[in-house]
Amino acid sequence: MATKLAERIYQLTPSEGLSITVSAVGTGFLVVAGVNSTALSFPESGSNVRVTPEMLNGPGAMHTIDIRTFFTIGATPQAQYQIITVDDQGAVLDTTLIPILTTPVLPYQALTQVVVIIQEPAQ
Amino acid sequence: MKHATIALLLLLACAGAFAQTAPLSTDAAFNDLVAKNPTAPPVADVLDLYLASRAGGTQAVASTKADYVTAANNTRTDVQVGASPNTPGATSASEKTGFADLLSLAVERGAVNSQSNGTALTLSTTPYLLGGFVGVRDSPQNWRDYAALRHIALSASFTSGTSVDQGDFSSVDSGEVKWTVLGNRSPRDIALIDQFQPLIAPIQQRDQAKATACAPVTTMPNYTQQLVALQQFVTSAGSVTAGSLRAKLDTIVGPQLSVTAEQNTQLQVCAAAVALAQSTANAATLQMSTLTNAYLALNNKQQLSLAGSAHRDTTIDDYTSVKILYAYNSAPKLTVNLNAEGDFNQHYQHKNLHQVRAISVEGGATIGRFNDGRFDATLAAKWWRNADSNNKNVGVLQVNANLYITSSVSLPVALSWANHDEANVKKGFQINVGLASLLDNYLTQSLDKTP
Repeated sequence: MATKLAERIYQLTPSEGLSITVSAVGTGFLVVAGVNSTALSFPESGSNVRVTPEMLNGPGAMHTIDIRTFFTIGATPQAQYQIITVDDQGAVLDTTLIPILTTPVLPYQALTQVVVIIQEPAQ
Repeated sequence: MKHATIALLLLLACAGAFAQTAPLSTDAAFNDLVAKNPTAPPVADVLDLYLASRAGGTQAVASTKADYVTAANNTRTDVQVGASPNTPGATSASEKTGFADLLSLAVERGAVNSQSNGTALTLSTTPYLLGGFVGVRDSPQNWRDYAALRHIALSASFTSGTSVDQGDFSSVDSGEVKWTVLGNRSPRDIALIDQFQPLIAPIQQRDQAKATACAPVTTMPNYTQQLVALQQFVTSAGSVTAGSLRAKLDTIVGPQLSVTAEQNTQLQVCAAAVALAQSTANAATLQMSTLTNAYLALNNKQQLSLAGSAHRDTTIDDYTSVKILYAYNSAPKLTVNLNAEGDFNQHYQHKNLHQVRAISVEGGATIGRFNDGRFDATLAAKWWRNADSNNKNVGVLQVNANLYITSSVSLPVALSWANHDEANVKKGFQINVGLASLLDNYLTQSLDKTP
């Protein structure tokens, strides 16, 4: 079971993964995401991706999932992205809102990171 | 040391492949990452940049901040924000084919073609907005699925004193329905977003290089505790600035930062990778802006709209109008309009008038933003053939300029000249002024703002 150390910072066992859902309102949907050498595809709003233990088997015990969300030209003042992280048991770990900003000028991208720390195997 | 060396080589290889991207400095990258996401900044990158900056060492050459071009909506020359030309106080002699995706508002004062100096307040919207597709319902799916609702515009103009001065909107002086048959110039189109996909690959490559370069840093003493403490501060603060984050990091890391030469190298390699990834993402974003302009300009060169409107007229008779509006967008900054209109009296039998009150043609050319985006200008002409007026042939020439106070609010000023003085037109020179806003991209951005 995932242990939440802080918002978007989790400790997982080597066999655990987590799921990420990204959705948007008021903007064209464009997300670029990845962890280690694996690209995570979010083709449309509401897409869900599972980050598997294999993806987290890169170098180091700490892994950073980069989620770049783009606010396109034509985005409305109510535009925002929502990133939901769920552990393998289905428990919602975090719901992160990325609201549009009055600055910088559109278009721009915001980077959100989810940090995963893999527990050392029991001796 | 071996990992850091390999990471550095990887980084240099990537840098060669994307040599056109000017890297941000460590501090500039820190500021940029926080400024673009103050509620949930990327704490791992931010911590890495801070530690690298504290540890010292060679920093990347500082670059100027990304020079974003003004939003594409601000370059649009096809949007009718103010009242249609038949409305008293209208600041435009020729009507444009397009309209706001969601909502626009215009207040205009003066007389181009009114029986007296008038003030017009015009609200324009689309059924998309009226259908409640705002906020959470304004999702990319609804934007795509209900596109037809965005191709119809509804506008109402209020020209009586009570409506403008006292906010009494009980009496609509004119109303218009406009349907865009050809041409959809929304920068949120799925087809446009799909064109951004090729820009994504370099960003992913840079982020992957960053993951490799920064992996050794995560094993530094107290790194996890520092990361958690930083995130807890962000959570409790709700929103942070680069300054507040640095101040907190000073506390979290402490006055002394002891790193070995190898750790310093690892930090500098990691910081360079973070800055390069952010620079690449910024550069791709800039290209998206260029692509958006190209999409709007090239894929929608021709626009055709049909409009029907009803007008109150106490001097001759209330009438309805039917219009065909055509626009040719030769470049992002130039739109040529050609419109034809027929006006029909509503009580022609009772008042012994002609059924066809007038026919008219309008022509105009709009030059998009110039002088750093502060102005655009329209040259327009309209000719009427009237059936129920003393002066059968009436022409109006007009020069109209919009002064943009912010990216969304403008002051339209029009100077017009008419050859005859008759019921609907004042002879000679007239000046109209107004205030207009395309509310659906209202983001209170000063034109001088940079990211």
